[in-house]
Parts: sequence; structure tokens; C-alpha cells
Amino acid sequence: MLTSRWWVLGLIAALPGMIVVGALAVVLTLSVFTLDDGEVSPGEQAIGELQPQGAPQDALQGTKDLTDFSSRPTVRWLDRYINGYTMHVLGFTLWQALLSTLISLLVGLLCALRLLCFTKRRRELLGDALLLCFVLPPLIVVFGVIALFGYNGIVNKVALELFSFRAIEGIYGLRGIVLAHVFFNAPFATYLFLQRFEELGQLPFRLASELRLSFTQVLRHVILPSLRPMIGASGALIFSLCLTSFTIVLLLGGGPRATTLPLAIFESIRVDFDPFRAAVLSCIQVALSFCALLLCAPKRITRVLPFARRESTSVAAGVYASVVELLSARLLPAWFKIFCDIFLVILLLVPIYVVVGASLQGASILGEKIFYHALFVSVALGLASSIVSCLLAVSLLWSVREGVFLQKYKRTRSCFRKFLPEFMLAIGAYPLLAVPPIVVATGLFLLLRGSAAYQSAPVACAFIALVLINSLVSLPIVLRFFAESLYALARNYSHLWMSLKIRPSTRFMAIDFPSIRSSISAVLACAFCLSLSDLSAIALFGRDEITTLPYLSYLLMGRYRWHEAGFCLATLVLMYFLLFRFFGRGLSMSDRYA
Amino acid sequence: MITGAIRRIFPRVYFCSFFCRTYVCSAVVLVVFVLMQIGIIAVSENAVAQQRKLVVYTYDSFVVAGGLGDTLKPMYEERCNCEVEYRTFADAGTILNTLRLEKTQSEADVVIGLDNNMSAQAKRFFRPHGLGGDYGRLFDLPVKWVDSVFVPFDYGWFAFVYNKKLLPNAPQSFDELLASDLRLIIQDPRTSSPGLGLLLWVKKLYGDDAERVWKNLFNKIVTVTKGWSEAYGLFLQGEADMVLSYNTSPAYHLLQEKNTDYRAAIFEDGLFLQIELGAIAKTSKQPELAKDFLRFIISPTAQRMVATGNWMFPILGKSQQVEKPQIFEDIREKMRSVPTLTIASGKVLQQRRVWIAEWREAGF
Repeated sequence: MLTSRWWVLGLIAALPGMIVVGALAVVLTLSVFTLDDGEVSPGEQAIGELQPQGAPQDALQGTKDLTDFSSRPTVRWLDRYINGYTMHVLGFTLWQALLSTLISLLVGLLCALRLLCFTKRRRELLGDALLLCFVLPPLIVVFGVIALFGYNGIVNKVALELFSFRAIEGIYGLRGIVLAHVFFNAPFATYLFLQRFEELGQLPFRLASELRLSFTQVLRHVILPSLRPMIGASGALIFSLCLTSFTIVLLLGGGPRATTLPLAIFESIRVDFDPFRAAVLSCIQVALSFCALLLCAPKRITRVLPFARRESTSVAAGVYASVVELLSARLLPAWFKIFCDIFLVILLLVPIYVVVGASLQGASILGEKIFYHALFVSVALGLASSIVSCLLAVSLLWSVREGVFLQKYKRTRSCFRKFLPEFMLAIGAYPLLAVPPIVVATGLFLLLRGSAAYQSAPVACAFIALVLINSLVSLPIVLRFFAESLYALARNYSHLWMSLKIRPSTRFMAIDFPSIRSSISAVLACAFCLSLSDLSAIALFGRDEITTLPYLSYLLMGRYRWHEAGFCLATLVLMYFLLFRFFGRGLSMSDRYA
Repeated sequence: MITGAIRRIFPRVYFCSFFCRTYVCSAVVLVVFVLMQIGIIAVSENAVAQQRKLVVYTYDSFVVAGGLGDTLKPMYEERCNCEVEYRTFADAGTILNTLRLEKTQSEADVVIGLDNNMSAQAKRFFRPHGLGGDYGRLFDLPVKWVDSVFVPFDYGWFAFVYNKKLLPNAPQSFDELLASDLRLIIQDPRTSSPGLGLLLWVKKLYGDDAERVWKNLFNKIVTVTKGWSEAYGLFLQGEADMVLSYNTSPAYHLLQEKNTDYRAAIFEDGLFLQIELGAIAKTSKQPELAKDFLRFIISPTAQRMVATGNWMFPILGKSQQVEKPQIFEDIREKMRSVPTLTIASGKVLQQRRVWIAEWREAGF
């Protein structure tokens, strides 16, 4: 059986991570090779050409991140990558990520609790609209946030009308960044928390109501303990998302003060053309999110909560109604509901703004071929990357879980083996999140460039590379969606499986797959949207045959065609929303048990 | 039937009806998906005709969404009996980096869209255009242009754009701007060419004083964006009083939206110039065709499209029968009374890092 072979599965789990690490390695080695013939640092090289005597020294004086290159190689290396500037960047990156994560988790918790009180139909609608915020390209979210809270935003306009002063002087800087991150990540946290509540079933809530626990007691004894096993993991994921976010920081940062690690990486590729430096900085970023995961990871994934017994399907079908009654009637005080409502409304305003704000003047884009082309490419690209990313995610999670639960079965106490599965999940998933797509794209580009396949069918190759990159980008998030169901099954039934000696293949087909079957379509829809939001990789593979809708709207903005761009984005939002309405069923609570 | 077939193939697997439905559904999805891929590949690869093919690297707003490149392509294809294929990149910086990555394997014949501020960096990827010594004789450029490698095809000045209604007393010079308390949005010099333009502009005007000027400017700067589009979008949403853009931006608002409120501040102490360039790649296997293309884009036929196609000034003037809309003439006329600022691209290449570091320090 599995006993001797589960490390093979671990290898499979680490595969996508290895792809990224491979791309990083390619960037590193090729840049070292190219350094030899003076291609890589054209800055220095060309300075030498122009003024052979002493010029490089002059040119480089005063820069903090570039010191004397000629002497003491180790010091040079260290000084170049770890210096005051890098330290400042690191500090700022960590601080904003930490702050954003904490606030996102809090707001997410509030919204999840509030959503539990709605009827099924409304809750699904609201949930779909909420999740839009998370999957939309960051650029749109930022523009939405500015339309609300900006200098001339809705909040300020209302304040000017009513009290004749501006409520918000400016949202640029740290608060802007944190605000946008909360808009981006709080809906995601909401979804994860909701998923967790549904794993709990109705028993804890019924108990709480029968024991007549007060709201604070429910919070203390039911809600928080039940969230504890996953709050670390989702916190770490949100932390990494904030750590690597690029567009938001750049747009709302308000100047070089707000330089973060991803921006420094981008800078070293774009400005200095120093892929080596970019790769080193990416490694730092990977290490950071890796540490975050290991620190936040629950020590025992397999922990069984006192309350958290999965209900049998027939009993749980009624879960929803009773939870609603209990929560709305007794457990949540009215002031708390209103408080949560405020957050919900604010979060929902952004996607609504994008659709309502779109002008009908922009409909003229409907007459252009490029629009339909972009729509078609978006669908093809999204479909391909979401399928690839779901396949990767399920195989990764499943193999890691096998490791975990086997370990539990054998009651291993060794620290190494205890951490190994989580470690492998981290290796498998986190480099993808932490290495900016632009670095992966550069690596793949360098790899593909020379190949015969690229020469004969460049578009197909570029398409496949994009599919790969985009699926890797959305993988960590897709993982989180599947993780709870698969882990919950193992938590509850591992002993049974082992004693019945069910073969792993049979177990997957008969138990695991049916349990995630209903959420697959929803996760596919989510991955579909996520894979379209990255604009940096698509820019590098520059082929005008491959233009996605978000990219097209960005191009239209570059040509002053704001109305058309707005129309494209509104189309995108509506498309995403429809996707969630038709395929998003699996993420909602009641159907999962039906 | 399908259930039976699957049962026969996998007899030992536990089945229920939904499972087979899932199989059928995923099979359908996969087939659709494969067809789509084939469709994409067919659409794109079919376009490869037996004709000669000229590969042009350019930034994408030049081509997509009704850009100048879109207009020029059929015109040139008719003339040369060949096919023009655009490869588009996010911006000029990305083009340059792609050339660096590709080295000798580059497919490019012509590169369009690098500018005078980065030309020295890019020079080694190109060969002399060989258009003859006096090809620049007819140009209507604000500066004299002589270069054996790069051919200019349009130009414009960086300028701060504002809304006349909201800001009636716009500053008339850079000093006034520094003395004011306006809200500004600029682009990052590390990622965008207007951003780099402003960096050079300040350096040209204030020299060693630049760091102090930047410290002052950063008090007014609301935010620094990655590219032009974001900055201009924020400005249109009312986030700032002025935005760094081109002095041709008002022409767009006038001609396309019939809106006369937007103005570019023409500073008395001068505006910084940007000239967009084309050049023949060193790796080109058909330099003659490439040279012909360059000759085409500086011909009056092509130049007539520049003003409203790319929202920049054409390099040919009235003497060559290249008419531009009145507003362009007006701006051009106004620009004759103020200095045009430039910095030699060799100097830019040499000092860029120092200046950017200085900029960064000032903003800390």
C-alpha cells in the first residue's frame, strides 16, 4: 500500500514549485552566463564604452545599492543585495502586509458572520458579488476604491454636501495600501470562514443556543476555536498575497517611500536589467512567505475539534435554515449586525461601481473585431489555466494529505516527519505566489526562446507558457478552496479507511472526488477569473494575437479611450458574475450537503 | 451505454450515476477546450502567408485599439507587396529588454517606439539606417536631428495637464509650480517614459539643485504611478490638480470629446522633448525591406496620420503638405516662444542610475 510510497506523492506535490524554482534557476544561470559577454549589465558596459577612464566609478557614486564592483567579491555581493535600501524596502513590505492581513481577517470574519444570517438565496447572491472583488484585476479594484474614498470620491462628496469639509484628505500612502488590500482580501477571508462554518455543521450552534450562551460566549467557545486550525493558514496566504501585491502598492503608495519588494524586483528587471538581482530578491520574497506559512501553520492539521464532527448528509441538509434562525434570533446582537452590514456594503460597492460607472458611449467597442478577439482569448486562456491549476491543486493536496494522515496513523513523533507534509505543500505552492510572474515569465521566455518549437509555432508556445504561468499564479488560492474539504474528510475518517484497507485509488474515486465534486465548478470559475488578472506576463510574451479583456482595457486607457476601457471592464465584471452565478454553486453552503 | 463502457474498463471502481455524468461533462468541456486551442492556433498561424514578412517590434498602444500602426499596416502592405507583422510589448522599456534577452536570435526587422532619452542604451542592437546624409533635411523638428541609426517619426513635449475650470490660475513656469501648493500626479521614472522625462527635465533646469527641488515636489505629489494610463485616469477622476502628460493631450480632448477645458501648462522656462524613433535591427535578414519601411513612415503619406493616430506631432511640416489639425498648429506655434529642453542620451545612459537614486532619496 501507500506506506512505503508516500514520499513519491510528495515529489508530485512539489512539482509545480519545482517548475518555478527551475525558472528562477534559469534566470540566475543565464544571467551569469550572459554576464561573461557583457550583455547583462548594459548600464555599466555602455558607460565603459562612452568614457573609458574612471567613468564607472563616477557614475556609480552616490547610489546606495551599487558599490565598488572591482574589489572584494563577497563584500560587493552582500552590499549589493543587503543594504540600507533593501532593509527599508523589506521593513515596509512586511509592515504593510502584516497590517493588511490582520484587518482583512477581521473584516472577513465580520462579513462571514453577517452572511450566515441571510437566507440562502440572498446569501449566495451577496457571496458571488463579494468574491468579485477578489478575482478582479487589482487595477480595477484600486480605481473603485479611489472612486469611493479618493479626494473627489463619493465619501468626500457626501461629506462636502453635508458638513462642507472633506472627510478624507488623501488615501495615498500606507492607509491607501492597507485599505485596497482589505478590499481585495477580506472577501477571500469571508469565503474561507464560511467554508469553515459549513464544515462545522449545525451541532455547535444548536448546542450554543440550547445552552443559552451569550454572543461573547459563542464567539469564545464556538466560533474562534473552530476557526483556529485554518486561520493561520489563510492568514499566511493573505499575508503572502499582500507581500507580493504590486499594482496596488504602486498606485496608492504615493512615492518612493512606499517601495516594496515586488517593486524592487520589477525595478531590477526593467530599469537595471539585472535578472540576477531580481532572482535574488525573489528568493528573499519566497523565503519570507515560506516563513509566514511555517509560523502560522497549525501544528496539527489533523486535530479534531470537540464540536466539529461532520454531519451525515441527511441531517445536514437542514443545516442552513437552523443556523440562520439560531444566529439571527439569538446569537448575534442587532448592533453587531448593523456594524457588519456597513462593511458588507462598502465591500460590495466596488464591483457595483465598475458596472454602474461604465458609460454606454463605450459600447462602440462592440463594433470592433479586437473586442471579440480579446473575449475569445480570455475565455480560452481562462479555461485552460483554470483546468490546469485545479488538476495541480487536487493532486498536490491529495498527496500531501496522504502523507499527513498516514503519519497520524503511524503516530510518528519525529519533528521532521511531522512538518514534512506541510513543508511540501509550502514548497509546492508558495514559490508560485511569491515569485513575481515577471520573473517566471522571463525564465520561461529565456528557455523557450531557443527551442525549435518556439520557432515553428510561436503563438502556440506563448499561449502554453501563459497558461502555465497563470495557472501557477492562481494555484495557491485554488489550493485553499479545496484544502478544507479534503482535510476534513481525513480528519474524520482516516481510521475507518485504514481499518477497512481501502485502496488509495478507490478512496479517491469513491470518497474524495465526490466530496470536492460540487466545489470543482466553483473553484474553476474562481481560477478562471484569477488567471486573467495578471498583466505582466502577457506583456512579455507580446503577441497581439493574445490579448485578454483586462489587457485590452489597459491598452484602451493608454489611448485615451476611457469609455471603451470602462465598457470592457464592465463586461468583464458581468462575465465573472455570471460565471459565479452559474458555476459558483459549489462554494455555497447548502448545496455541498445536498 | 457510456456507463456500461466505463464499467467494463474500470470494473473495480465504485460508481454511481453522477460519476458518469461528470465524465461526460468533462469530456465535453475538454473537447470544446481543445477545439478552442486549435482555433486560436489556426487563426494565428494561418495568417502566415507565403509572402515576405516584415517583423516590427513596437509598444502595444501603437498598434492595438485604433493606434497609428493599425492605419499604417494596410497602406504599407499595399506598397511593398509583403506582410507586416507587429510584435507588441507593454512599453519601450520592455522592447529594449526583449532585445537584450533575445540577443542574436531576435526576429525583429524594425523597432518602432524607442525614444531619444533611451537611444544610447539601445544603439548596439541596431544597424545604420543608410537613408543618406540629408534625410533629415525636411524635418520640422524643434531640434536638429542627425543620427546614423535612429530615424524619428513623431515627437512631443512632456507637460503638466490641468482642467481650466478647476484650476484657473495655472502656474506659468516651473518655479511657480514649485511655489504653489497644487496636487500633482507623476509617473515613476523607473517604469515609464514620461516619468523619466520629468526626472531629466528637473535635472536640466536645476542641475545639482535637483534633489532639493524633488524634495519640494514630493510635498505636492499625491502619488507616483507605474504608467501614463493610471496617472491620467486618476487625474480624470479628480484626484489631482495637474498630471504629468504630453502637451498634445488637450488636442485629444478637443478633437475627440469637443471638450476645451483641458490645457497643458506651457512653462516659460521650457518643456522637455520626447522624440519617438524607429531603427533597423542588427539581426534583420532583410535590411532593404526594413529600410524601405523606415522610409515609408517618414513619408508625407504616413506622417499625415500621426497627429490624430498617435496624438503626437508629425516630423514633417506644412512644406511637405502634411497638414495637422488647427490645435496642433496652435500648440506648435506656442512652443516656438519657449525653450525646448533635451539631454544627450549618452549622458542619460551614464547618469540615469545616479539620478534615479537621488530621486528616490528625495522621496524618502
